Amino acid sequence: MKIQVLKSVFILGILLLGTFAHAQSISGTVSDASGPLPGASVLVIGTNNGVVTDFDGKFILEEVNTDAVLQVSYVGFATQEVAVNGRSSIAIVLIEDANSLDEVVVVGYGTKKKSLVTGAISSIKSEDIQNNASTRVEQAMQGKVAGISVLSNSGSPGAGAKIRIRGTGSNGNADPIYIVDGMKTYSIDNIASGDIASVEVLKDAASSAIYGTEGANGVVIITTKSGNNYGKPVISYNSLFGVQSERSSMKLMNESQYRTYLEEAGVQTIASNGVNTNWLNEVFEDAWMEKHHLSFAGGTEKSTYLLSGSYTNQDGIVGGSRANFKRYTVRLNSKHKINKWLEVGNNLSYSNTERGLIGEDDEYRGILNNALLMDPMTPVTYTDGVPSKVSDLVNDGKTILKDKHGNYYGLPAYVTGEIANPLSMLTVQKNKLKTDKILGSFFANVSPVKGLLITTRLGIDVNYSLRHSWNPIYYVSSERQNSLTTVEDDITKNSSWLWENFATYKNSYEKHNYTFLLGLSAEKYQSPNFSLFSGPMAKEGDNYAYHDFTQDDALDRVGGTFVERKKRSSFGRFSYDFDGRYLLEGTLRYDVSSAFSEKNKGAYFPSLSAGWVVSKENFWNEESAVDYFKFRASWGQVGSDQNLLGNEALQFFTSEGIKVPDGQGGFLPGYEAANIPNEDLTWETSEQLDLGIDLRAFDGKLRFSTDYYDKKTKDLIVSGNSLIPLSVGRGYGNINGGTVSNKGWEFELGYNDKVGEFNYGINLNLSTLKNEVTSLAVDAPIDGVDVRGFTTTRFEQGQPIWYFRGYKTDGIDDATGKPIIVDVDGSGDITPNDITNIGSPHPDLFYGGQFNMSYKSFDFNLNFQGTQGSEIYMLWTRTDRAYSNKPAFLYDGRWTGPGSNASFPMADVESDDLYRSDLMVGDGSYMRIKQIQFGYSLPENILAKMRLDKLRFSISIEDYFTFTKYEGLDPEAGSTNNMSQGIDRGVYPIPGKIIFGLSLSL
Amino acid sequence: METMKKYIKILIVGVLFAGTYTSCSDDFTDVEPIGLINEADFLTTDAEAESVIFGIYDLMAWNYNRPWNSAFFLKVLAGDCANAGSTSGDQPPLQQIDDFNQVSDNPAITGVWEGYYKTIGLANVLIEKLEVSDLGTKDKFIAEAKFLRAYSYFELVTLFGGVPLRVETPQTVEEFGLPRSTKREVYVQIEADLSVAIAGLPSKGSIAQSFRISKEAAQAVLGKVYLFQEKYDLASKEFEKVITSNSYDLEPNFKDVWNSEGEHGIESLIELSYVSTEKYDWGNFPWGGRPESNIHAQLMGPRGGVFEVEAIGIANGWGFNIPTAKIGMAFEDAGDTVRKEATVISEADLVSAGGAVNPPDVGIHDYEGYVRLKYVTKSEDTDGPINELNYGINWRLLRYADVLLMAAESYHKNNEDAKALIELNKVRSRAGLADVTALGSDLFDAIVLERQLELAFEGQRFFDLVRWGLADGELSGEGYQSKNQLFPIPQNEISRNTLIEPEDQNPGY
Repeated sequence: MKIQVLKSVFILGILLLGTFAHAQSISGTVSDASGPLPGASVLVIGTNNGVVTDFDGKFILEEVNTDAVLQVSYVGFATQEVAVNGRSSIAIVLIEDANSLDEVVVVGYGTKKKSLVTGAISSIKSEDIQNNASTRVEQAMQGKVAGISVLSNSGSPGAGAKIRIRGTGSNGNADPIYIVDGMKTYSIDNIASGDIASVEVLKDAASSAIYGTEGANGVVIITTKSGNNYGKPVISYNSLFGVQSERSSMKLMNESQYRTYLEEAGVQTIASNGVNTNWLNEVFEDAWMEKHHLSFAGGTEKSTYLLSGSYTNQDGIVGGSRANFKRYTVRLNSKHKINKWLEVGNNLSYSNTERGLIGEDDEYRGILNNALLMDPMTPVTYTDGVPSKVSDLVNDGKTILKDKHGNYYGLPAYVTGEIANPLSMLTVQKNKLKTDKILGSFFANVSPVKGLLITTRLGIDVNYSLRHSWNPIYYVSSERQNSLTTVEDDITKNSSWLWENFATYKNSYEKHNYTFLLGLSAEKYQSPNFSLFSGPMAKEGDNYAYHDFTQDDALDRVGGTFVERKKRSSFGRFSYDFDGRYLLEGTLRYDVSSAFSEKNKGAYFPSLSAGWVVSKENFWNEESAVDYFKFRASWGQVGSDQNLLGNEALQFFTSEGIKVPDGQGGFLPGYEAANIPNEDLTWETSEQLDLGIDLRAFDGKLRFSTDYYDKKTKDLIVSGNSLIPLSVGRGYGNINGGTVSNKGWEFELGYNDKVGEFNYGINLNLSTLKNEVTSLAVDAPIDGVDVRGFTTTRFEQGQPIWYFRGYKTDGIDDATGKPIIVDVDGSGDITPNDITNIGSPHPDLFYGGQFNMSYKSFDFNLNFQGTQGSEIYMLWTRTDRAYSNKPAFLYDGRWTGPGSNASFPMADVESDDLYRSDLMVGDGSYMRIKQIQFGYSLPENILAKMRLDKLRFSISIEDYFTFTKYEGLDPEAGSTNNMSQGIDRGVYPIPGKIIFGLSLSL
Repeated sequence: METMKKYIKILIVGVLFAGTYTSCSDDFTDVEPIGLINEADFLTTDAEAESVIFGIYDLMAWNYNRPWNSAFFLKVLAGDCANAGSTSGDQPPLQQIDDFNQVSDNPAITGVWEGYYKTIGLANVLIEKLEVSDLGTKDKFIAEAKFLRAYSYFELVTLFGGVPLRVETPQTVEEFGLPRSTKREVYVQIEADLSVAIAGLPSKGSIAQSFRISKEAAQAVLGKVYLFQEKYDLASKEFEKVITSNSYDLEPNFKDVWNSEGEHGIESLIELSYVSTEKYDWGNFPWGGRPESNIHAQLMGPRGGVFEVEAIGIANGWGFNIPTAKIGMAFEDAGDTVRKEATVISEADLVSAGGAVNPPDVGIHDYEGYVRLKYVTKSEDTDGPINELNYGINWRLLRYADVLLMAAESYHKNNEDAKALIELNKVRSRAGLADVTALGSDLFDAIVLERQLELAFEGQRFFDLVRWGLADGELSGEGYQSKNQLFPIPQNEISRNTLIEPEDQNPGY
């Protein structure tokens, strides 16, 4: 089938080419200062005879009189009239129109002049991404453009981030898709930031509808760098290195506060034991990080290349080298002109990462969680003398962990249960995640006739990941111990290919400019997974942690599964403009996915958008300070099949994990009916309306854009299990259960100018967001995450997605010192029915900004980013562990007797009135100075002596200053779990960094 | 321009043609499900039908052993023999149940509701599919599935009163809502299912595996169902059938009933199996899944660091299900040493046996001077690599001693005190106690006491007290109010079930 598609496209191309190659004509090239201009219109004045230039800026015109005059135009450039004067070959260089400095933006399956864009697209340039210490592209995007929120999952090295474009539009996976040089991928963690040329974020449905069933959560298009046909080859080396440190201002109770609090709470009167450990100080350390990027780029008239390599190495501020993240990447991008009508090329990258994992985001056993909960009366290690309870355990054969000096780590002096000395627990973290990834695309561009470009492109995305861990023996308490060495491996090998064939035809007729795009694609994703487990190990140590060397075959376990998804699609786009003044675009995509049910096999996703460049109208005052003014409006429907499993319309039986003991030492396998089938299940559809204005003024120095969007995600996929009554007694797979609305405004403002040798620029962006679940198919809320046995987040009609649940309080009763719980249901009693919405993790407002200036050889950058209106639910406290430590604010603000005007209740270690109430919800708003950077570039005369093109040194401080009222470790309390956003179980804070940079090219 | 237009047309046609071509080949986007068997290819053989029966047993075993949310805890903690234990803030849902201040969103109650309905749901599927199948042996599987369904409904009706009576699988969202039936309607269904079960089940001697239900076990359950409805005549007839079948008997030594050698022994009518051979360790124990070991042993073992119990052959656990002084003293007052020694040990006895109790300054939450021995963390019941996670103790859900005591009660209520005494004294004599000779209400009191002592920590006491009307008196010290005679319908069910409204909640919740 695939062969057939390719054949038909090629045969057609060759056929067309053959016909045109024989035509008589005059030929020419249109270029600008930086190279050929594809898509420029060339018209013989006074005739209908006109063409647009091909991708090399070339054109051929037939039957042109020798005295004819050509009109050459291109949006953003001054139109030129050129007399033929009998020439058969003409080279035309267009000059940029000073009044409309214009950029090209990458859109789905093509590029577009920004002035002609009718959708909402934000761009981030390479220098904004690579000039900071972020190890992942997502982090570097934070705060750069409006409408996109980037929430770090954690501050640990190599941790991912959640990108939400215009709010959370799905109950399950709401991540955007990433298109890297045309290849679709679901993660961009393996791309070196130094390889990136630009990032485009398609925010509205009209822009993303060309990606159909995968565009609903937005599309991020990443274009990597390529070589240049012109000029000399460039060798560049960039290096950033520095020290990371903890910057949180979080305070826990110290030893005396802790004792007082426990005494007042009636737990116990404890005498001081002379120990006052600040566990946060103990668990954090300064950590090294470095990033290096080396590239070679160049080309000839026929070929271009970019070869690059990068190395990233980052230790953790918790766990140091145990939380280390390393990444190596190599890339080869090349493009070759085979002949006049054929161009082939590739963008190919390989990366290798290794990440040490320490326990995070876990309210029971996380390292940071335990650092918060550990009582301050426990010493880190016993340096003078071991207490009898420890020696008793040692005598009893228990393995008490020791530090590198041979001292026993302190066992909890008071706190009980699974809570353990975090430093001792770090020594037993033997968990590593290694990945190898190949991501790339191979393409051929065929240009049989002027204006027509046929592309065939094969993308591959292969991900091999291995999580390898082993578990040493240790003992802290009966709840926190390991008495058997075991080895675990989890191996996943995702691979996908995507084959796309599309043709673009671009032409003009008088002032009518139009482009057609038509394409087909097919793709397949496969993911086998294997897990292996065995023990005990012959001896503790990394070298023994392999299954051949474990000793008891009876402990061996294997597991494995397989996931497969396939899709085929057809798509098309029509773009039209009249004189760059009236703009119109429509797209349509048709997808057939293996995840769809028999009943709804194929899906259409349409979009329509229009623009009006008012500044091009005759009535526009040429003298106006505003050079460019555009209204745009777009509407579209986009889908998401990310949360569909496929085959959900059939009744199945499963035997997974079902067995009963036969009474003779064996098991009898059992079967269960799997989910009740749902024949009507369909994809999620996101429908979005976008209205926007783009404006430029003062000779392009000022740029301003604003958008209003109204996005509704319909047929939201929710787990049927979370909606059907338990009395059905069966699982029900996914159902289309609701609608989520995201609405908001976005503003982007930029100003750049220059006074003599002083250049400066400022960019600001601001977005508002209102997120609400507007309907649910079944009138029942869906429970989200459970913390300590109770539902903590919910998905409910009329509320923000995954809002926080708890008791609402109305101050502290001055007489009793207890919180006054609001009787929400008016029943007269405080019951669980009074549990209500006490906060939302979603900010109302997020913003970012960059200031930059340069004077002669010096430059300065300042970036900041923040959110307003989000809340954080501090849930790392343990009501079931009376002796666990607490945040200092519970002590400082506590009620100590009538008239204490307290903000927090009397000392209390277990009451839901405190720990499941809004008293534990903090304002998550913050403003973070992402970067302050000073740079110095050597002046040209010195560079020339050194035979260098560029040499720049920089020093920056990053993520160093955070302004927030939140009294936890980090207001960016991230989580990998969608339903657990804003729930603080003891987050790994984002480290501050002091970074030195070196950048040179020759 | 004319020629160009022509070629564009050719191109578009070409692309569309290719598009159509791919669209026709639908098989490209078909993906086979992994690891699942389509119903069209299933339940065509004995073995397949039987494997679903095993699936139902597995769900039952899961429901009674779900870590923290088990039917076992729900039934035991409501009684007056057990306190929740551990520390006061530990597992609030279980503390609530113990203290009778449970609320409708209590996850342990919700979990148990879910567990019974999952068991019923799978039984429904099997019954429905088999009823229309031409499998020749289907009747015996239908009989067994109906027993398992009836048993679950019986537990539900005693815990919650009238519940939604779901006897077939709903196919669409519209059918998911179902109102509460009356208690009476639920009992009618239970009786009907049990009568089919009794007719189709094999006798004890012919059951295929020791954990499968026998005809006599179904008769005993039917007897219990009658007894709970105060249909004493019918009840006594069913118990009589079980007794006269001689399929079951009392284990000669009371303490052997809970030994691993005694699993599925002569006294056991319904028993859920767990094993110590799965070699769970801290890294792979399925906390959210379906452990094959009995994790409750560890959850309810005497709390480490507080109780030193090694001297009596017991390992430490996490301290839940700790005895009340009431049950300890009940044994002492009755002079019942045989059963006491297998059920609880007092602090004094523990210390004299070489153990110790080391209370922290705050004291031991819920501790009233006794340590539980029935279903305790006996070192011999577990195996490595991690003893804590591999206890293999089976839950005895219905014992012959219980049958005898229920028979005695039915006879007594049916004015057949002489017959009642015979059955009662069988149980007493095994416990080494003198025969009871009292008649009338004294006999009834003797039966009440006997059930308390014999069946302590087996999840019977609370339901007995409620049906006898004695709960108000006996449980008042535990925080019981009359509304607590039923557990609240889970809030979750009320909000999702479109035909159950908040006002349909059990009174007082």
